Amino acid sequence: MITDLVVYLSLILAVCGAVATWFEINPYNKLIALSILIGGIMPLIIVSGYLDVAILVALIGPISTVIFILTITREKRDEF
Amino acid sequence: MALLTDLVIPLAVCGLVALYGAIRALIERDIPLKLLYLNVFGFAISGSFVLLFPDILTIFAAVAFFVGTTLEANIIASACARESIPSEEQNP
Repeated sequence: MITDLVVYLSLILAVCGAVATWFEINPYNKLIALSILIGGIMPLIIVSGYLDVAILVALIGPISTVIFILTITREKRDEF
Repeated sequence: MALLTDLVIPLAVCGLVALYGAIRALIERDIPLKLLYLNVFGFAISGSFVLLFPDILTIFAAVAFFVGTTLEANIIASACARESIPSEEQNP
């Protein structure tokens, strides 16, 4: 029962993160909302039993954040 | 059945802490405060993994997610701080 509750809660978190990623304007706020989206879909993958997929998603998330940070700060770096 | 009844309260605490951290991270206006609550959210979610699916590989997934979310928040914080502080080295 409590597992179902946590699954529904993580579903709500994933939807909230997706909507916030859509409507945020500041790119750093967008990245924070994207991180909440990734954290919201992780319990769904765990409950389904795909543990290797969960490990890969947990490793790929920060790498994609690094690449997003490089693209966000590109204009600042190109000025000099 | 005893295992299920034992895991109810820790899982509920992890879920509540995760919900609180996510709501505060989405609502706050200050970016360092948002990153602080993003860290709280990551800790609570990675704690709830092993309680949801007790297995050996779940521990590795939880460790990877814990390290990943902490590094992610610190990467965003360092980039935001580097942008907000005007640097004197590049403009001599």
